[in-house]
Amino acid sequence: MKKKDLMNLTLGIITSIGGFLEVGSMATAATAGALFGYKLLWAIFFSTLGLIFLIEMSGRFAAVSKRALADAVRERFGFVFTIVPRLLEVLVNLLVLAAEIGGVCLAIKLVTGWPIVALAIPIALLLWLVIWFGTLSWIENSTAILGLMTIAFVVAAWKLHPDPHELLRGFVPSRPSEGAAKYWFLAVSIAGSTISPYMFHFYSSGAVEEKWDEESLTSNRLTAIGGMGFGCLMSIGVLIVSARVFLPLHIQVDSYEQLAVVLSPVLGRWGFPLFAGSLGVCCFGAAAELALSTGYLIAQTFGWNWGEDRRPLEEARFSATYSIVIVLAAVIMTTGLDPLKLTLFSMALTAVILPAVIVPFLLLVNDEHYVGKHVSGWIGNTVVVIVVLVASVIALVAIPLELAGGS
Amino acid sequence: MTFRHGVAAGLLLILSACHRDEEKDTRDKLRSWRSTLELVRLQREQHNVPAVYAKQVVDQAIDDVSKEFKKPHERATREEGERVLALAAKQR
Amino acid sequence: MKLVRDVLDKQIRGRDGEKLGKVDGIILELREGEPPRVAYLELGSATMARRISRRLERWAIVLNRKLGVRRPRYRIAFDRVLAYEVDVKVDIDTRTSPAFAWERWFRDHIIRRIPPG
Repeated sequence: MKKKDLMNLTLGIITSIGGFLEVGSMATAATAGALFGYKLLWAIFFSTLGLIFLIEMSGRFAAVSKRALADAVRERFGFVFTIVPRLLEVLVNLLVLAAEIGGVCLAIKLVTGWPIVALAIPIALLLWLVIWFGTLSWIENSTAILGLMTIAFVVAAWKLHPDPHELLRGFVPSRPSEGAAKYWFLAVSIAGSTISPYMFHFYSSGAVEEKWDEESLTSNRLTAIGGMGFGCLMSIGVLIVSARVFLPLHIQVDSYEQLAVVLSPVLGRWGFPLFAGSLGVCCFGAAAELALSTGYLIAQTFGWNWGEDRRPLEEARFSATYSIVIVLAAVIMTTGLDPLKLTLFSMALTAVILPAVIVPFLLLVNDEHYVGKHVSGWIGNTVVVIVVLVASVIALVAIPLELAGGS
Repeated sequence: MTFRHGVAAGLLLILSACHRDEEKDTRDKLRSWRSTLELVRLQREQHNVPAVYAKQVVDQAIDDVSKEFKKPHERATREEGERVLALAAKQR
Repeated sequence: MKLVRDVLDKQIRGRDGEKLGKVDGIILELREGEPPRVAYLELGSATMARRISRRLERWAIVLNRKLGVRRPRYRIAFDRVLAYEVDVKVDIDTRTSPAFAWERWFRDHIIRRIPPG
C-alpha cells in the first residue's frame, strides 16, 4: 500500500471512530447500562456487525458502479417504488437531526445554563454556515478528530475494572427478569442508533464525490471494519461506565442532566468537561452528516446537481434543500420537546423503516449489472438480512408497548 | 350476567395491575432522583462538577418529581416524594 | 438496449456534464406497419406525478402554471442522446435549457442573495 493510501486509510478509520458516537448511541447505551447492566451488550455488537457489512457494501457499490445509493435505487426500482421509502427516510432524518441539534444545545446548556429553546436557532445557523462554507473533508476530519475525546469513555470503562465473565455474558441475548418491554425497546433503539440509513447514504455519496474506484476497495473494507469496529468500542464504553456508576445507585437515565455526571466519579475534574465536549462535538458532526445526507437523498432522487465540495451557486436546489431541513429541525427543537425522549423514539422509528431501505440496497449490491464481479458474499447478505429483520420485528412490537407504558 | 361479571373482573384486574406498575415506576423514579442528587452533591463537594450544572440537576429533579405528583399516589410514595423535594430544595 | 433498465429513471447529463434531471418518462412514436420508435425522453414534475396518479399530475400542472417557473414537462428528442452507460448523456447545453429552469430560479432568487453563494 502506498504511503498516501495508508494516510487516507488512517484518516478514514479515525473519521469513523470519531463519528460513531452521537446523541442516539450515547443515550441508548447509557440508558441500557443504567437499567440492565451489561445485558444489552449483544445489541451493540450485532448492530455494529450489521453496520460494518452495510458500510462496506455502500462504499463498494459507489466505487464500482460510480453511483450513489439513492441515485441507483431510483434508477433500478423506479420512481413509484422509491417515493414512499424516501419520504419516510426524510421524515426520520428530520427527527434525528432535531435530536442532534438538541444534543449540541444540551452540551452548551450543561456548561452555561442557557436554555435549549434559546440555543436551537444559533446552533442551527452555525451548522448551516459550516456546511455552506466548508468542504466535505474539512467537515468530516475536524469533527472526527475532535470526536476522539470520546475515548474518555473507554478509558473510564477500563479504570472501573468490569468483571470479564459478566461482560462476556452480556454478549449473549437474554431475557430480563423485569422490564421486558423497556429491554426490547432499548434493543431496537440501539439498533436504530447504530444502523442509521443516513450513514450509508452519506458514505456512498462521499465515495462518489471523492471518485473512488476499484483500487479503493481494500481501504474501503479496512475503513468499514476498523472504523466501525473501534467506534463501537466507544458505545460499549458508555454502556459499561453507566452500568458501573448508575446501576448500583439505581439511577435511571430519565434526562441528559442525570447522564452528564457519569464520568465524574471515574475521571475526577476531567469527567464533566469531557462528557459535555464529547456530546457537543459528536452531535455537531452527526448533524452535519444528517443535513447533507438528506440533501443527497432528495437531490439524487430527482437528479439535481449535488456535492459538498461544489459552490452553492452550482447546486442551488441541493443547497436550498439542506438549508430548509436545518431550519425545520431547529424549529422542532424550539418547541421544547424533551431531547432524550425525541432521541429514543426517533432511533426506534429508524429500526422500523430499515427493511424499506435495506432490501433495495441489498438487491443492488448483488446486481452484476451494477457491481460486476464485486457482488456481496453470502455471509454479508445473511448477517444484514437477519439483523435488519430482527430489529424491525422487535421494533413493531416494542414501540407500541413502550408507548402504552408497559414494562 | 356471567359474561358481564367476567368483563368487569377482567377490567378491574387490568386496572389494578396498571395502578401497581405506575406506583413502582414512580418509586423507581424517586429513588433514581434521590441517588442522582446525592451523587451530584458529592461531585460538587469534590469540585468535579460546576455549580451551574448542579443547579440544573436540582431544577430538573424538582420539575420531574412535581410532575409525578399531579397524578394520585399511595401515601408512602407521596412521603418519599416530599423527602426528595426537600433534599433538592436544600441543595438549591 | 432495454428501455426501462437502461434509460427510464436514469440520470440525464448535458454535454457540459451538469445534471439536468432524471428520465421521468419515455415517449414512443407508433408507426403504421413498423415497430414503435423511441421519440423523446421526458422530464418534469407532471411526468413524475403522472406515474403515481392522474390527479397528482393535474396538481403538478396547475402548480407549475401558477409559479410560472417552467413548463410542467420537457421533452428531449431521442436522437440527441449521446451515451447511456452510466448516465444518459444528451447533446444539450444545460445552463440554457428550459429543463434547468428551477435550478436557475433557486440560484438567482435565493442562493445569490446569501453571501457568498
